[in-house]
Amino acid sequence: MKLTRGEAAFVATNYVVLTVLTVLIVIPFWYVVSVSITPYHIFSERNGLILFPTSFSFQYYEYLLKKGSLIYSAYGNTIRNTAAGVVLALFLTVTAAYALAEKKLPGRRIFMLIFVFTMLFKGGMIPTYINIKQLGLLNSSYVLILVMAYSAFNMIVMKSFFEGIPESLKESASIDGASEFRILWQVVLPLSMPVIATVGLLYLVVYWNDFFNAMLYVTDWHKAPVQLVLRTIVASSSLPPELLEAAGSTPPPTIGIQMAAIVIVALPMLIVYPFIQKYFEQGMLVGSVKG
Amino acid sequence: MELVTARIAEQSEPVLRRRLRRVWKYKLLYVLLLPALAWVVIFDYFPLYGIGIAFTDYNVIQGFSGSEWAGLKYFRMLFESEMFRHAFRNTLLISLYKMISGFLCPILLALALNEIRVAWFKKTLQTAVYLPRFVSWVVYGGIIALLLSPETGVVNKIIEWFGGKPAYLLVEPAYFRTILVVTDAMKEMGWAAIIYIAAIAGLNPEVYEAAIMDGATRLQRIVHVTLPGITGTIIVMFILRVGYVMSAGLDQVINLYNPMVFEAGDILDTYIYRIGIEQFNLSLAAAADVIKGAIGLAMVLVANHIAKRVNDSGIF
Repeated sequence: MKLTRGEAAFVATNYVVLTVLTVLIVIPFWYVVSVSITPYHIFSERNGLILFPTSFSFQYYEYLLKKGSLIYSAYGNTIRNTAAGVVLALFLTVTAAYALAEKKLPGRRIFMLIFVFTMLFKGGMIPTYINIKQLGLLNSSYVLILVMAYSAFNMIVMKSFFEGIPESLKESASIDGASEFRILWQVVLPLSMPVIATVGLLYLVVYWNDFFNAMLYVTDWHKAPVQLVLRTIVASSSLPPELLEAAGSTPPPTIGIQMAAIVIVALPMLIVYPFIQKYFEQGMLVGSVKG
Repeated sequence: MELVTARIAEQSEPVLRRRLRRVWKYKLLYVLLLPALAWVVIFDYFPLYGIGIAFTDYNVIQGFSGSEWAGLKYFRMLFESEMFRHAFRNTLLISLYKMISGFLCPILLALALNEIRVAWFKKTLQTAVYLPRFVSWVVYGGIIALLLSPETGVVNKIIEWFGGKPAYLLVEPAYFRTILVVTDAMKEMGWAAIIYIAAIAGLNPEVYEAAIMDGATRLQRIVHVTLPGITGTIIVMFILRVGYVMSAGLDQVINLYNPMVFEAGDILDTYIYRIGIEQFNLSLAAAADVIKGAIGLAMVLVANHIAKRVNDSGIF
């Protein structure tokens, strides 16, 4: 197909604008990595302008990852919370979505109302905090796994996907004598991998990146997830006492530690998401259109 | 009397039994519903009971029932507090700005990406713009602080380059809201565009072919085919966004703000956190929670109503 001159200009502009935008979005991440591996004297010599590191030093990483460092236990907490949390969250979401996707279920409208109302009105930060306190979950090892384990939005996305699965498939399995549990496990779930990957990833990101629930409910450094430790390193530009204690010696300049800590905390998600990307669009469309 | 009830029971029994049999048929589905139902009741509905503390002099030791009724005392205190008024105004302003930028940017991005015909290039761009969505605001806030820092920040270097005066941008109330809106757009617009990209991909290709036959240019095709095709999605996304109008971005603000910019950047959520969790004035903070929740609920109901009127595509 031949382009007219106007259209060619349109296409060219589009390419340029999108490329510039993408570079602007990505370059800060590259910059952080560069700063984290550049020795401090070079960093200050060059006034902080380091796009391509010329000399390398891993002193910041060595400092943060010294034996006995708080980072290890915090990382362990985050991995544990995230793994348990995603499994629990997928379980709650799949079971509820599958039941509510059955249009003939008596009382379906009432149950939907109960689930959807929480999207419209919530008790708020303080009533929720007091509830957690009264449940005795404050500062417990499970609180972060539990409080993020369900999202009405994800349930609705999954329900819409299940509703799109042909009724006849379920019926024929049912005639063969399969129970609802078996239909869900052996017929519906294998067909639902895109939406399970999408919703699973959404939960994964929520669990890995949470710091605010940790700020509210966790005060013990040994139960703190890695984002909370990072927040202390980055926001207050001071290091948590436990980190200093374990690392012993005087720390290297803060800015490098901050950047190295950012890389350590952010890296796993940035490695994972491109692999699941192909499912996003399929998975998001079904839910979004129906709301 | 007895006779009457007996007769009614006789008549209605088959109906009741039929209904019970239907319920029994789906018993396993109710079992499946149970875990999520329990979660919602414990973690979403139990807290509703705690709203009452906004109307009492809440005492942690004696609990809710042992606390004295206070009426609207804490609401009055809020409206007299300058800090609350700032937080309230900032929440609405920041939310409004973000609604405009955070709403238009993803749509424009999706439309622009759709015009890229080179598959690998499009895919690379998409992967790249999704990236910031996958880091927390702790991480992104740290990166922004590095870029905006007064001595070594790259942004200040660029300002100097163009002959401007360097400044400590994150402590200037005049710049703070702009920083929030721009960084929010940079972080979220790639991911937010996915829904529109998916919606565009679902449009009927025959309509495009017909438009090409009729001699429509690319821009005309965008305006007359693509945009009308995704209007439903745009409206649903807009309603969802309006429902969050009272949430101006807690995770972002709490990682970027500081006392110097409270006047311009403090929002209801950060206000509630400071008053309630840090200063432990639970009743006052809960009153702010109630105001926030009530206005949010009203906004989403109104938006849904309007959407139904205009386009018949409300979400409930």
